[in-house]
Amino acid sequence: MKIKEIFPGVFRIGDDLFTKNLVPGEKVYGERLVKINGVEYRFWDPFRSKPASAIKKGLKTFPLEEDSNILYLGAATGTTISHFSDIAKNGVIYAVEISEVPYRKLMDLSKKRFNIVPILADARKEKEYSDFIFGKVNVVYCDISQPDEVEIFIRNCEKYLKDDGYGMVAVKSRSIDVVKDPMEIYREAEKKIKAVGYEHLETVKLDPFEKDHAIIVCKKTK
Amino acid sequence: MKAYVITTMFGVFAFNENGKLIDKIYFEKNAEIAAKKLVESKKDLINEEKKIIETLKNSGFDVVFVNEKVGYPVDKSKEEELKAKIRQLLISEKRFSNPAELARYSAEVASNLAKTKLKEVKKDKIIAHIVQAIDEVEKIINTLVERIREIYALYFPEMEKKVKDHEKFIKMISSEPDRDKIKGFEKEAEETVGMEFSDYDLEIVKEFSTNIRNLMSFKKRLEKYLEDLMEETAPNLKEIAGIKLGAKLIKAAGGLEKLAKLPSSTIQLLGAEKALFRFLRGRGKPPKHGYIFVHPYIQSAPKRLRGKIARALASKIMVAARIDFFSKEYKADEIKKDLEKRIKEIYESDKKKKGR
Ligand SMILES: C[S@@+](CC[C@H](N)C(=O)[O-])C[C@H]1O[C@@H](n2cnc3c(N)ncnc32)[C@H](O)[C@@H]1O
Repeated sequence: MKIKEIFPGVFRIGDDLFTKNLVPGEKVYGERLVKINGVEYRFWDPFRSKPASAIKKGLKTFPLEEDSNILYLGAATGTTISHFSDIAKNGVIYAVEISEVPYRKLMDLSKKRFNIVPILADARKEKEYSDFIFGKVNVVYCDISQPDEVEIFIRNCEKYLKDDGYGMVAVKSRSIDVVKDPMEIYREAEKKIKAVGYEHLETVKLDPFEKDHAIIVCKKTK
Repeated sequence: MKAYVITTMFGVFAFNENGKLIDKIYFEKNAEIAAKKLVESKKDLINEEKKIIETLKNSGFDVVFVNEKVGYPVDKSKEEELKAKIRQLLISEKRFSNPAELARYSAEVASNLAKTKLKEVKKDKIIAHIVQAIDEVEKIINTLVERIREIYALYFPEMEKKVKDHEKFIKMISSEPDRDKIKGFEKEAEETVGMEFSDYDLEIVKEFSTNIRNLMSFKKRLEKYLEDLMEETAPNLKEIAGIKLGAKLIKAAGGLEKLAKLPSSTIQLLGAEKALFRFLRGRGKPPKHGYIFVHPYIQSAPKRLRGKIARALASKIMVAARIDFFSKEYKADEIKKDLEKRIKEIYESDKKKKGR
């Protein structure tokens, strides 16, 4: 079988995406495991994880590397984070989640994947988790489906992102405004990001994997 | 000369204006302890901070905190720079062998911090619901008792009038509704002016009152449940304010954490929001106390002292709630002693005034 590393730590086998399993033998959300030349890979499901959908849809900049430190807002139960933890295996993922129920799962996940720091906090109050984040991060990833998520994302980038770091925000067009045209909502989000002086790199719509969603990628240039 | 003090999960560190480390005290390398220290330092000066401040002051430094600290100037602009330095230090001094181990430790501290939050958040939410449920059940009981009394008064008005206590009344008619068989009311039964009830009517009376009786015992069960919840979640508050009042304050504040962060002047008025708004709109007098009005200390006091006592009580309730939220240590006996002393003073100064 042909296997190709299309981004650092992201592999394509046939049409499917995979990451190298950090904890061989363990599934996180029921995903398929495959072994190639003695190495175990986990299927990265584009219907379950937005960065995977974005890559499938032709994302050009995927800023994660083996030793990236990442601030992840809206961690949920860690579906996507588990793949980030495969990719940034020598980095740290600061995983912020506001809700107790998914947080418990996240905490369990962090006991097997040592590069995840699970933080129970509100991403709106970015100062409240400064105790845990030592040194600025290379990437801020935000997926919280809140009407003010772009503002929250920017505030977190301002505080925690390195000056040449990358930001990714998953924008749900319906959670911001139900009536407006989705494209218009993505443009507005881009505008807000440019207004603080970040460089807008690309916006990738996620359908058919995720309806009414796009991922916006930007770079902090200061 | 300024010195910048920053408290982290690893310990307390002080830097001079050029960013050079001038003092440090490490915490024990234990995630549970580190989480506790972080929580405490958000609230007050911890011992390690006191020690560093003292040394710095003795060497002529002006202390500036990098993280929020009541009573000290705060300058957050250096936070990230200093944290990066601390991180390097931890590795170079071999407190941690590599960044991965440091991340591992951060994860443990974060989990420990969350765990304390998880427990409290959960239970204080239940408390808020249960204290309200008890009021609701009580209201339902009262409504139903009124109804069954009116029905029963048609049949046996003499007895209905005599047995004033609701619980006793319900107990009696749920075990024996037939007036000719109720012990101790033989004479009244003989001379009653009530109408006749058929067996069917009496059956309904019995079933109706049995259901009320069940509700009454359910209410007692809820009260016991609330007591246990308060004991577990807010033992100090429970002792100082009482079970129900304590629970109502938690509910009104929106949780134990929020209550613990309220100033005592606000605690004093929780539950009096309506009166307060009325006053602000220019109608009525300003309220002196909200829920805490029902506390025995206030109830038993003469009117002219109630405002003062309410203030003293609210300030001790605040202390109790803070201890419950931040450390859980049982200190209610000491708090109570303080409070009683303060109340005695209030009474004594009042006596003196009157004597004059
Ligand atoms: C769409 S889910 C994220 C899914 C996740 N990123 C994944 O792909 O595995 C959104 C999550 O954001 C969380 N959330 C919402 N508001 C938040 C806030 N203010 N701070 C932190 N998390 C928040 C929700 O509890 C929920 O778990």
